Amino acid sequence: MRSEIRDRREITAFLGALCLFLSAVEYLIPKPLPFFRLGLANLPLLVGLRFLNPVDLLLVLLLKVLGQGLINGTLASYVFLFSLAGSVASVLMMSAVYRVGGRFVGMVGVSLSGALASSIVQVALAVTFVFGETARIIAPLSIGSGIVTGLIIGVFADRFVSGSEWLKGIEKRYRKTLAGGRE
Amino acid sequence: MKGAHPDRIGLRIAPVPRFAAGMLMLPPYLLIEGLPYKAGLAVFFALLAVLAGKRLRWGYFLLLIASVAFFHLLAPWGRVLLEIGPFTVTTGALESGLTRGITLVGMVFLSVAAVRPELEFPGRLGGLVGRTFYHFDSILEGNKRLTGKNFFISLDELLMERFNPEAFPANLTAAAVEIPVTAEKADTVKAESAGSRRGRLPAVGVVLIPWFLWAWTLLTGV
Repeated sequence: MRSEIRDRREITAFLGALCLFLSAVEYLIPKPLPFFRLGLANLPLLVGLRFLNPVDLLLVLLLKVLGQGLINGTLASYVFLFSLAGSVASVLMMSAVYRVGGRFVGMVGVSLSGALASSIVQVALAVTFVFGETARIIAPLSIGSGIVTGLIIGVFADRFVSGSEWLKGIEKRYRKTLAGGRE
Repeated sequence: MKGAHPDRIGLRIAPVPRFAAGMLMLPPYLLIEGLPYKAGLAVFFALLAVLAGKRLRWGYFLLLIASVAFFHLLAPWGRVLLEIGPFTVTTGALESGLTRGITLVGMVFLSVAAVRPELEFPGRLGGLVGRTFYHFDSILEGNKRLTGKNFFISLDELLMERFNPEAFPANLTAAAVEIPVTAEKADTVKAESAGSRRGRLPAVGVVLIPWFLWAWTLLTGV
């Protein structure tokens, strides 16, 4: 039983590492606006919805946010709180849509809902703590860019889920650990 | 913020006292009143970030301060300084916007100077973060394989090579496996623990600067 837990933690840690790697890859992509972020680091969370249990999904999220805070050095600043709040809102929303929507909602729909939740929470935080009430006028721009990035990441996730042999293998291995090692 | 220069702070102060020093400098920074003092401390934190080897994107931070100030100016209050058509620049709105923007940017500078990837968290979470960074390094080693043209195929090959779902835990290092603590190992742990406290004195010296400045503003009533 211990080895199954260890394997599960190892998969969780690797998915967290994949988030950090994709975040590093995103730095190489030119941005149309200074504050614009594609959110490629959310891809492992999105595909992880399909097989990770809620605790491990939240652990991957925590590893992603903590790792980014440590690498960028923003752990002790408002950037970390924005990232944490946006990511938690996104994962909670995506989990709800994925479970309620079932086979009627694809990766694009799930991703879109997560991106919208993240954008709304981050705009609310920005209005409350950074820019003040008048910053409500940036809400349409922020939510609009959230829709665009949500669509793009959703399409990426769809392609990754349908084409990745690695993901199929990890999913199978993870499910095996949940079943206590039984095939 | 790319780490292009040597980390001069890291040579003298270990990650844990460094992080603690950063956290201890936050209260006087948040409590201090008056834009010039707040801006002075933000510049001090920027200097620390530069000493930490970080290349700061000045344009980004100036844009952030300007945008925060701009949104505050949309709700005018205080003496009118300037009128540009319907847009009014008032002292109160300008000062509060600049103070807010500078406070946020200073916090980022302080965080960038205080936080290192080597910072270890205690307990199980700490172990998991350590494993995450181990895998992150492993993926980074093979990142040359990634191509923009066949991104998903090359990513899949890279992941399969670095973390084969069928092969692990055989391909994991001993770090993931519990190793019995021997006398030699215990000595190493002791030495590492002593090293983790390195630089407490210089850290205290740095922490005192914002506290003294805050106390001085209180005593002199400026």
